Amino acid sequence: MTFETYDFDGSKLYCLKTTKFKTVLLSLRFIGAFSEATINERALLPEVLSGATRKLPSRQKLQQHLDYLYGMELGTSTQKLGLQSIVSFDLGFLNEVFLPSPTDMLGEAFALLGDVVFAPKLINGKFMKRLFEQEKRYLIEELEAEYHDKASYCYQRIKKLMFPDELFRFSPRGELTTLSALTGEMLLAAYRSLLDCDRRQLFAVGDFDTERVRQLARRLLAPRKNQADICWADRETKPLSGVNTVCESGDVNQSRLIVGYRTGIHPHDDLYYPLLVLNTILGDSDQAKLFQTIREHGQLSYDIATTHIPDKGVIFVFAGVENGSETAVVEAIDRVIAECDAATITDEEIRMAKEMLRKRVLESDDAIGANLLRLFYDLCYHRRPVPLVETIAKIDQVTLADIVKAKDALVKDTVYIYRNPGAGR
Amino acid sequence: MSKTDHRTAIGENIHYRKLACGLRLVILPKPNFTRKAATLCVPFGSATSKVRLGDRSEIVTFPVGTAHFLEHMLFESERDNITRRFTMLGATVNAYTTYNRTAVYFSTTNGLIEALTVLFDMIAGAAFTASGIAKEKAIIGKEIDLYRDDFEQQMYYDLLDVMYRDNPIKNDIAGDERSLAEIDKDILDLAFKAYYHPENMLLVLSGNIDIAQVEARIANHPLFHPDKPFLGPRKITEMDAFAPNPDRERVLDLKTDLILMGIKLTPDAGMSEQELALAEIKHALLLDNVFGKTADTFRNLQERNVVNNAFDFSVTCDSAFGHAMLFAESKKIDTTIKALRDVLASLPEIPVVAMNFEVQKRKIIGNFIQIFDSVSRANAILTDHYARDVDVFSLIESIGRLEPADIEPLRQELAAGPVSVVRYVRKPRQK
Repeated sequence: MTFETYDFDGSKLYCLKTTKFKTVLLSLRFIGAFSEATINERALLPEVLSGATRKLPSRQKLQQHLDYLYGMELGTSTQKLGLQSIVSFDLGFLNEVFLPSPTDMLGEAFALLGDVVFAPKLINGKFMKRLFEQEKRYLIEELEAEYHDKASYCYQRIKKLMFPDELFRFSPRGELTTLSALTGEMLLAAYRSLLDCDRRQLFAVGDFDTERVRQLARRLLAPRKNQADICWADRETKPLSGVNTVCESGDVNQSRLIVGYRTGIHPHDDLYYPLLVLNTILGDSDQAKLFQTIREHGQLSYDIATTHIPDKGVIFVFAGVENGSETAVVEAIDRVIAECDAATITDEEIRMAKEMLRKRVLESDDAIGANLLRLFYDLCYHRRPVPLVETIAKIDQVTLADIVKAKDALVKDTVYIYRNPGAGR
Repeated sequence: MSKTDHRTAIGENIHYRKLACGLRLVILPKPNFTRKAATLCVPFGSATSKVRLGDRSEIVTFPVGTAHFLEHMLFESERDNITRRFTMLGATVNAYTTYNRTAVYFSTTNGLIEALTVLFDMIAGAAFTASGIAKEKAIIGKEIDLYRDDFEQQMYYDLLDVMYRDNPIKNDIAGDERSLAEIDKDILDLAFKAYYHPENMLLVLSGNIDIAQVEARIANHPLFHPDKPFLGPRKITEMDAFAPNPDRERVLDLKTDLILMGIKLTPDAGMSEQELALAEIKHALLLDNVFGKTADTFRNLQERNVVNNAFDFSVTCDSAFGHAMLFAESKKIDTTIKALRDVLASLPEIPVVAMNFEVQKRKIIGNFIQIFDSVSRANAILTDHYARDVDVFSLIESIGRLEPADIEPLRQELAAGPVSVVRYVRKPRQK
């Protein structure tokens, strides 16, 4: 595996060459500020751009072209990392050596990526009205349908409640309350700004001719001088004054419970790896303390697990709970966390947690998408690709004392309960 | 001992052996990968309901949810914390039950043999105690509650319940309160003895694997030297010939109405599993021709605002049932249902354009090759197919040979099949 970086006057091309995969992955990423004012624009923009190009002026034609290229996959996304908004255009495709008939897949992929991002189908300088309205409707309906998936609906709710004045309360997928007011003009302005102001990074992962990629990349990477600062850690917070408990009503058989904790620990911090180990010990496996205590011994829940958001430095405990047992489960979670200290964390728990983390690190090398993500995060947080052994060594070095320090950093912030007040026993 | 080594055009080798103990062993070597994936499965699923054992004439009927209960019980050992043993080896283990099988699977980045040993010990040492059974009943009860709040899953079972009157495919995988109450130690013992025998087992492995080591471990593990004879269970399968039940509607706390439509298909009796798998693909290609993202008819539905991005379809063909399903979200439910019915009815008049058909095939073949970039996905696909006795590589070759004329005759069947509809509609707004 070899890694090379090319600078195009501020815009970057990162090439990770590996012969492990039958596919090649290109990812063009635009990095701007995550701001309330442009959330909807940046959520909808990749949907509209991937809906029509000048040469392939409908989603149907674009899809036909992708299918013809042996199921080439065009994926777009908008995410929030730290205080940044990242709009990504990804193309995954088969390496031509595995194809039954010769096709210049790399050339086709670069041409398509360039067309999607830089040559959209416009009419009188505007996005096509029909396409814009259709994609906006799809996005509104997708956000509305989030209500049907109670786990993800409750997650959006606790974000609003726990972070009332922080950017983290917004979903990078868009905000329903303001989305219907979005116009084609606003979207076009956001598009121009993305082209003119965002930092650009192009990633290529797989087996390819690096020199050719470098030539092809020119069209996608414009010079960038005097770039705005980038912040990959979201340290926004609020004055903390006790735990906020919110109970909301819904038509559910089983209550949903989420408990949110702030840690103040971010990927650059000394306690970052201890926090990873702690999170695994607490709730990130079926050997975890919460799972063992609440499901296996208490039979109070079928699913209970933690989620750690590294760039925000928060941990959530998610659980599905029998109607009427909410308080018992909240108390049990409090007890598990209170009792998680030097006396109760066993060597075996630490060893299992480290094995699991080690496995996850090693496996990130086995999937082309995971290789890309690891490289991207390494560059964000460390400005260089970090060898797997280095990450594993950091995990191995974590001591019991470090884990307890990370545990002492947990501050319980919000308890969110979603239940049906009419049901229950 | 039978042996097949499959060398394929896409540079993947498959080792297949049926060992003397009866175990079928499939290995996909991926020498450059760190992750190793293993799946052990038996043909005992939620639709394995009525069974004959060997030559005996009486029929055994398992309560709904027995296979899934047994899956949970495998992890419930009094002597041994199985998951802990896996985790200590750096392996993650899980299990699933489908209509036709139960599977336990793990992955590891450490030694495969050590983790395989835990897997074999787990099954060889399975024992069902009253306290273990009571504990799992409580946990599965909560699992059932959890899925009651999952609309898509509920719709799926509602639709099967409408489409079929007397086919065990409609059984909820986890069962319900009543059927859980019927499950006891005797039933679990019998099911375990009948199905968890090497003659019934399939083991699929992918990754950087030493085949000789694996075979040696199998040869000397007690799991593969059972002291009890093989009971030879045979599932009793009959095609459900009844007309569908009336359509179903539920009024729920939703933001958009949801529609799941089912079209009953009747695969020819006596088709081999290989033929059934190809029939499934042919129906899917035909639906793709009208409901796929590149189809003119689908674009028309989009432009009329009767479907959105959530639209999806699927096809399943089995020896005892067959159906296609269409899922849609809609704000004008009656218009959407009518539009989908109209497209189905017009199927016989919509030609399969040769050029588009070639493109569809290219996509399927391309997607298939991409699966082999992931050890876990490859292992899952191989398990799916070998569990059904389908050779996935010859299936892909058969797809490559398909012509429009091979699928056009099926249009009539899809257009004429009985259509059932489940609709979940929004509660009227309160004033």
